[in-house]
Amino acid sequence: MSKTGDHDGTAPKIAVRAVMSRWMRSVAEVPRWIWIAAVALIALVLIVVAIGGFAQAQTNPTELGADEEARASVYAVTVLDAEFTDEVESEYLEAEPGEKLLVMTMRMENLSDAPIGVGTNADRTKAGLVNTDDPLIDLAGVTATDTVSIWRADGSAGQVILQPGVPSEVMLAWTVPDDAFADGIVSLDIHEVEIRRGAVILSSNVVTWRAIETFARISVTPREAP
Amino acid sequence: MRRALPWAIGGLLVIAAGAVTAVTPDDESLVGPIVQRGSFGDTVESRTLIATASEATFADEVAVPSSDWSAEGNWLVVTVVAAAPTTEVDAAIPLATLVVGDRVFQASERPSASLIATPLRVGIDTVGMLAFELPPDVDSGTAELRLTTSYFTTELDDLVAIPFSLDDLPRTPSAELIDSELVDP
Amino acid sequence: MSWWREQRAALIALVIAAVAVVAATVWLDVVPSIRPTDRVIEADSSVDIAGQTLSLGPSEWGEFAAPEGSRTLSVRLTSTGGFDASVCGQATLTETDSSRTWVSSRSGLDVSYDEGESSCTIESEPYRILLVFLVPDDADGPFRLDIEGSDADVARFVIEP
Repeated sequence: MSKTGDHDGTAPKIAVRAVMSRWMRSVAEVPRWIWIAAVALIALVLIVVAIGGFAQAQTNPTELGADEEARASVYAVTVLDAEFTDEVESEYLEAEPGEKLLVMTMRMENLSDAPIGVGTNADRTKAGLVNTDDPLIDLAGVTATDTVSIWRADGSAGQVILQPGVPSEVMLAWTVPDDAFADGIVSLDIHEVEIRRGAVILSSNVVTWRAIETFARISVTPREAP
Repeated sequence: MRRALPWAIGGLLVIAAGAVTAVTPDDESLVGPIVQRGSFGDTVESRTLIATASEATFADEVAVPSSDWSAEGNWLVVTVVAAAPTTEVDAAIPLATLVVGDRVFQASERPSASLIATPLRVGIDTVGMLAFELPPDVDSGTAELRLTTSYFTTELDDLVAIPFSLDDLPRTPSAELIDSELVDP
Repeated sequence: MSWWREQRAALIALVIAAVAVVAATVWLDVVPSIRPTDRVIEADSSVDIAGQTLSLGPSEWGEFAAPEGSRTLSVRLTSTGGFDASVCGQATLTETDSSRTWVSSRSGLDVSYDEGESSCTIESEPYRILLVFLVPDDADGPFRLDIEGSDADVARFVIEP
C-alpha cells in the first residue's frame, strides 16, 4: 500500500480486472426472469415519460365573462358588475392619489357543508377566498396595494360569512395603481380547492382550504364611475 | 401443532392490534366538547351558560326596524333566554350554530339586532334573537342548536345543544328582530 | 438481587430516560402555560393603583331603575388623579359566599356622566368614579370589589352594604 505512483501501475490494473471478472460471473448467474422483469419495467417507465405522465398537470383555465358562474367543488362565484371608482362613500373607502378602486359585485355561493368567511375565518374553517398569500380569487397581473375590502351591498352588519347553500351578493374592492389595466380588461384567476383537516398546535378540527390550480379565469371590462 | 403455535399467536396479536386501532378514539373525540343536551323550551345549564330556547319560527323576511334593514330568504329565527351562572367576565355567546343533517349553519352576522356577543349577566336573564339564513330546501327534519361561549366551537368544555324538529314550526312572512334586553322574571 | 446487578447499566439508562421524558414534558407543555397570577392589594379605604390613589366612598342600593328581581349597587370612589395616572382594567364585584361575579356595566341604565367616570382615567386632577353593578335580589353581600390596574395588580376593597 505505498503511496508513490508509477511502479504500482500494474498491480491495481490486475486487481481491477479480477474484480470485473468476478462481477461478470455473478451477473451471468442472475436468473433469467429477473432480466425480463427489469427490461419490462424500464420499458414501461420510458413509455410513461414519453407520453408525459411525469409532467406536472397543466389545465387550461376556462375563460368566462361577466354573469357566467365559475363553479369549483366547494364554492361558486359569478361577477355581476365591475367598475373603477375613486371612493365608496358607504364604506368610507377612498383611493389615495395615484390609485383607484376596482369595485366588483359578485354572487358567491358556499357549496361546502360548513360556513366560510370571505375575508375572515368562520369558526375553525380558514377558506382564504381573498386577503391571504394564496387567495382563491386572485386578481391577475396586478398586485393590489392594500387589503381587499369586503361588504354586502344591502348594508348588512359584520364580516361577510357565507352559509352553505345560500347564494349571496358580496362587494369586493381592490386598491390598484391608477395606470393598471391599460387595456381596460380585468381578469380574476379562480382556483380549485384542496381541503386539509387538522393543524398541529392549533387544533385537529381546523379546516384549511388550500388553493390549487386555476380552473377558470373571469375577464370583465369595468366601467368608469362618473 | 407446535409448529403452528407461533403462527396462531401471531395471527391473534394482529387481530388484537386491529381491534385496538378500531377502538381508539379519533382526534376529534380527543378534544371534543362535553355536550349538555336539553329539550326545546327547557333550561340547559353548562359551566359557562344557562340557556333556554323559547321560540323558533321560519320567516321569509327578517327586519331590524331600528336600523331600517331587512333581508329576504329562508330564515329561521330562534328566541333564546340566556344568563351566566357564575361570572359576568367574558360571559356572552359569540358563536351559535345550527346543525341540520350533515350541514352546519352559523347564526347570521347580517342583522344588527342579535343575541350574538351580547354581554350576559349573572342572576338576571337576557332575551335575544338568533337568525339563521338557510338554503331554500331546508325546512324539515331535525336540527340542533349549539351555543358556545367562546369564538370557536368548544373543545374540552361544555357545549349547550338543543335539538328540535323543523317540521311543525310556523312560518311568518316577516319577522322583526329586536335588540337583546333584560328580562323581568 | 443478582438480576438487578446484572441489568444495572440498562436500569440506569432507563431511569435517566424517564427523567428526561418528564423534564421535556414539563419544559415544553407545563412551563409555557403558567400565567403570572395577579398581585392582590387588600385595601381598607384607599389604595394606590394605576398611578393614582383610589379611596372608597359610599355604596348605595337601588339608586337606578332595574328590572324586576334585581337591583343596582352603586359604588363611588374618589381618585386623586396625577401625572402617572393611567386607565384601569375591569372592575368586578364578587359575592364572598357564592363567588358569583358581576362586572360594572352602565349601559342600559340611566346614568349621567356627571355622576362620575366609569373607570380610572388619565386625569391629573382629582375626580370621582361611579361603578354600577346590576345584581339579583338574592345577592346581599358581603362583596369584594376588585379593580384591575394597568400592570398585574388588582386592588381589592371589601364592601358590606
